[in-house]
Amino acid sequence: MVPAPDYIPLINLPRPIEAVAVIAVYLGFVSVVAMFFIWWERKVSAHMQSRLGPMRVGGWHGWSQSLADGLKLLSKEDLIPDEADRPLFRIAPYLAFVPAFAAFAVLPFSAKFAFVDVSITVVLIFGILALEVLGVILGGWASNSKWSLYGAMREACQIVSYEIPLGLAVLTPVLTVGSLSLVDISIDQGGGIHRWLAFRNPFLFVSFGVFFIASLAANKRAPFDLPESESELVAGFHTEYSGMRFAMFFFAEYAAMFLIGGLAALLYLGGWYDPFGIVLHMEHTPSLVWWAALAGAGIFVVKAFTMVFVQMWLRWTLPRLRIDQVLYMCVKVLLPLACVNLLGVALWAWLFPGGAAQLAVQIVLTVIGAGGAGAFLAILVWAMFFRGRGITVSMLKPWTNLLHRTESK
Amino acid sequence: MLEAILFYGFAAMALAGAFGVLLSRNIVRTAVWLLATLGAAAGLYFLLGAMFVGAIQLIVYAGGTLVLIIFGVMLTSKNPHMRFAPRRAEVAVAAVVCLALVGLLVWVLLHSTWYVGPIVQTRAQWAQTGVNEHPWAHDLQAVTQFLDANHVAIVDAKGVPCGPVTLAGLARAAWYELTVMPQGDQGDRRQPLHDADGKPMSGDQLLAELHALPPQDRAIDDAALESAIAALESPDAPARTVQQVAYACGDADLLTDADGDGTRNIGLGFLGVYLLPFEVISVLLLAVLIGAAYLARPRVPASGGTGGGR
Repeated sequence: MVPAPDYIPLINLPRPIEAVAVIAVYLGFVSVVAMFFIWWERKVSAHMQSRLGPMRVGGWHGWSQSLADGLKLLSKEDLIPDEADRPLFRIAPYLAFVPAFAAFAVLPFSAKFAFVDVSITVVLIFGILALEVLGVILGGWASNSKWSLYGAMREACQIVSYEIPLGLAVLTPVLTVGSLSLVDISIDQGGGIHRWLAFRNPFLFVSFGVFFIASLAANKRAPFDLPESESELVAGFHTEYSGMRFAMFFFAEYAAMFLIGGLAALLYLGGWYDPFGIVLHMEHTPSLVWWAALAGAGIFVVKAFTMVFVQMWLRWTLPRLRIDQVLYMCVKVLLPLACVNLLGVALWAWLFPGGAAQLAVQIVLTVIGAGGAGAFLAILVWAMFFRGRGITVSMLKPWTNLLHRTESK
Repeated sequence: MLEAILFYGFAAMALAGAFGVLLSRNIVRTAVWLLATLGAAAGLYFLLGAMFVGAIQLIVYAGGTLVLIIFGVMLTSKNPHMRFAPRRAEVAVAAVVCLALVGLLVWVLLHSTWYVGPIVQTRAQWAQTGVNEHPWAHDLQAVTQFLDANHVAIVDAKGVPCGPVTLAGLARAAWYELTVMPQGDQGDRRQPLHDADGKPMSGDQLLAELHALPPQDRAIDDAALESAIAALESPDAPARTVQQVAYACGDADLLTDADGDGTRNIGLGFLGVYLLPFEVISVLLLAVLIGAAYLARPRVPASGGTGGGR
């Protein structure tokens, strides 16, 4: 008589124990991911600069470097400057880390692995992330150091400005799908790469770019890493921090990198669905539902990691902006673009509620987007294949010859 | 149990934060105490099921306003350990404003109707509460009997049937369902109909009542209304999940809709009934924006001597 409920508990435990178990799993996941990212970023940066990066600790390619660093930071003295505001200085790292961790609670990994499914996940996740900035600002202020204060002021300025284009960019998928739930938004994108929201219409395509740039700035990743710009401000807001408190700022940043990558995947890049619609098919086959959940979670993590790689790639490629360029970018480029996108998405939904034109646009955009990603992958493979054979010199010889022809004559 | 712990925890946090704001003399620490209060208020909203209001509280107040306050403090204070030293006149003005506010709040507190009964419970808990002495008990029993007679069960998230729900809640839920939701939006949200007195209501009665409404109070047209009622009355709509009903069943549902958060109702309120006040407030914000732009504009040296520029 009573129909089967939507919600099937993972493990049949009393609610509080289940909650504690889930929290433990999340804490483990976030910590491991953050430590992996720190190691990965050092590897990525090293290889981009023709170095090897950490190679010694652990075995293969220094895989346990982050663990060793963690132990080192744990055993370091917890210094507090004499003139600092001691209570605020102490709580600031927690204020930065706790929101970044708490936001994971509402991040769905796949249709079955959405542990807290409220209908307004999108708003909630940005509400929680909005708190992260307070830790940075208070840390910078409480240190009572000029470098820290400059970092904190830049952070405040940057976050408050970039939240506007970020929010407007996030509204476009919400408007298209008609739901504030990340699960709903993802489910709408199942069934093939042309269903992914980034490829739905031109405005969403641009909106994805706006979202990604604004989220970089919101997480103070390069080229927007002014709050800690180490060449000007020593280390910015965490100049005075040492030991585990310093590490917590880092954990917060790297956990937020995964969050932002995950949000980009959920909002624009098809959530936990593969490009060919296999997972969607599995979800509709009753015997394969759990396999679909597992495969979906795996695909989601792969997408999020890809976006994290792009963040690292950008960090080690682009030079840091000046503060006036950062604000110019926000107010004069991203904000108008985001507004136009919002209007455009609304207009698009009104003009093309479906049909052949919509499908044609989706296919064209898919070809552009997937073609770009494919070209990038091809270059990557090519670069790996020629690695160590001096590509920069021998492969580019014809072109350098062209360039230098006038000089040699 | 857990809810009680959370409630008292958040309430204590809000109070402690408020006293901290009051007693702290260091201006940045005041802001941190304020953060505690604002965060605790957001937690209380979440406990009430008003997810949207809670999240907006975090974004706007804790994340936006507070950052601006701290930013302003950092930019204006010359001494990092600046302390408040309010003058007598300032204390007097603040006292008058605060006492007026407290008076208003107490007045509202005394003149509101508070529903303190259970919201949604299992049948066993229901029997233990002695709720039959509650003034609403008669209505609630009527609803329960109606639900039983119509083979309607209200189930919780794990599919276990729940006990009775409040009459006003169901009536209101049914009302929102019809006036708010486009027909065919989510087919599984059907539920029994009641009039304001809790008596079961036929589709024709409801239709007549809704037809009597002025058109601007209705969100769907007549044809959609009729098909919605047909869907509601169909016999194969036996169960609803508690998330859909629970928060619509208390008296706190002005902020909540059948989904468990108030997003839809808030949107309808802002762009429907309260459109004019909403727009007036947005004009205020526009004025603030223009003022900020005016203050921040580059000082152009006055050309031609007197008059222009500052």
